[in-house]
Amino acid sequence: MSAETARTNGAAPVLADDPYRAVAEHLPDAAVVLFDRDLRIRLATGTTLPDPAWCSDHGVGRTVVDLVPAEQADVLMASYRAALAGKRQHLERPGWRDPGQYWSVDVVPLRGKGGEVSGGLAFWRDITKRHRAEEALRQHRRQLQEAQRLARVGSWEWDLATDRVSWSAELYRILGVDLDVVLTREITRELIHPDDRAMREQLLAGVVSDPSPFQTEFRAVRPDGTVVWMLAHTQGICDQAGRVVRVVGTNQDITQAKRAEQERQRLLGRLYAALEGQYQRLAADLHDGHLQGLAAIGLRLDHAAVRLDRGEAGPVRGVLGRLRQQVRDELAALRRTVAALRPLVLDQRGLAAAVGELAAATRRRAGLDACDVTVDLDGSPLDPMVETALFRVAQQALANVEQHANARHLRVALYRDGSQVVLVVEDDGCGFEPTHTQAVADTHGFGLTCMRERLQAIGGQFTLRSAPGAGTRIQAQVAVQVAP
Amino acid sequence: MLVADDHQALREALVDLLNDVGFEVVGAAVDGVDAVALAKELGPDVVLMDLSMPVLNGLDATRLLREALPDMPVVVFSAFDSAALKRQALDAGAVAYLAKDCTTQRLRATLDGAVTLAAGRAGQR
Repeated sequence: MSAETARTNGAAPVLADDPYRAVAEHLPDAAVVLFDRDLRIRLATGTTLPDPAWCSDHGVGRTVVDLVPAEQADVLMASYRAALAGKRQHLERPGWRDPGQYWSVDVVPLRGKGGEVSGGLAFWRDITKRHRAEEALRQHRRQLQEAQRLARVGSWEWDLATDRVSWSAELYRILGVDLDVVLTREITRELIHPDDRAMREQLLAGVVSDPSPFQTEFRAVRPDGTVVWMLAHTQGICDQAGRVVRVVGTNQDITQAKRAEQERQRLLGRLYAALEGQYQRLAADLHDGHLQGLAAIGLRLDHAAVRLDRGEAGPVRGVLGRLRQQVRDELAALRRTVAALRPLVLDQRGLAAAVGELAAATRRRAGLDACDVTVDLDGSPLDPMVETALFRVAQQALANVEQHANARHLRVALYRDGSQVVLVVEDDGCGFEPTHTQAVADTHGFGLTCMRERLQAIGGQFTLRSAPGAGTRIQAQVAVQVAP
Repeated sequence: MLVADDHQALREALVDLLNDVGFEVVGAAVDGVDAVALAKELGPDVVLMDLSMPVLNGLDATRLLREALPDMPVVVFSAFDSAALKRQALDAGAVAYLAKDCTTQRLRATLDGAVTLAAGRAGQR
């Protein structure tokens, strides 16, 4: 071990420095600096010095202010002076020679035989490694907190010996508990939703006998009463003897995913209900219309056969004439049924033509004075899902105009607006109170909810504007999806 | 004969055919309530009753008729050829169940049988 040493040349030592030298020169990564009441360095020695210049002739006899960078000098001088005033000081400071170097400095007063402070001793230790390790630890902790915050995952630990519970900061945040709350098992138990508490407690109790990891979902109730869904991973930690000593786990906030799943299930339910409704309507159409129509045709044929059997050719012509008309009526009825299921014009000539036809039919059937149709859909064909959805919205909106609006004028616009396709159906009819939309929809079957959900299903937006006596305007808007 | 069916074309075809093969159709009802009212008013020998009708369906109308006019036979005339429906119709008081695609011969034979039954019931009184 090589030691760097400086000593006041020639002059009698003001301080007995030998014991300090012995300590400094045998401790790794340490240095001792003795200074007098004038803050001048009398001795600087050790296996490592913050600055090798201190031990040279240049260093000894000078003050700290002369030897360290200005940004360090003030702090060091203050602690040295404090030592001369009889107070011990402890500092941890970055070095100034190597980046990343860190020093711990203990400054203590040195007293003469009469007890008076005759100088001070600064014990410098190179704590670069420890400091780096601590910094790395702090960084890891920050990253962990950041990751937990981003993933909405909190972690926890339950020490079985002490029955103490600890949480990560994110778990406090997820559960809406103040960080200064002292956790107990009782608090954590109370936070579990009453309906899930027994199940969760049973699973936790089971970890004591079987530490293998498991996954479960449960609900927690925050102190403010809101419910949060948790996806929990839990496992026991054993000591060397194989006894479970701790239980650890992570709780992820999956409330949003749960809500999305519930919403998806609700929409699926409505979808199946709507499908079933379609089947019912189709079955009713087939039974009440077409089956009866065909049966009537069969009866007319039987009637014609009866007359032919009787050799009455003349009257058969009358039956055949009625039969022909009946077949025509039946064909027209079948066309209406097919068109309601899936209008051919939509497949053959596209959305614009289909909406145009719907608007024209609405004008005719509702006896409107005017119908202004603007269709501008230049560009690539639309995704069939988008086309069908917009068509159904137009169909429903125009059915509302026909059945409920009592309007004189109708405006239908279908156009592209940047990356959006926009459908507007506007009338000057009786309108209604939009705040009663749901009640109106439920009562009168306006299909407003259906239109909204139909658009939501393809990522579109539905806007309704209406007021009693001031007409109704619906706007459907969907991002353009070009057909593959 | 009273015919009850809500489908106009079928009702008219049925009336034309029955009149032409020797039955006298005295009335045509468009729903179950209409059928019960006309049956009471016109007193036909037999009622030929559709099942699926608005306001009051054919089964309920048949029940009402059995209570009000127990001697008046009801023949159900349905688009469905279903054993379950047939059982329901007979339970409701119908004397026969015919599918609408049956032959003219079957239709005539069944109605003749119902008319005979009606006459027998009238004779017993």
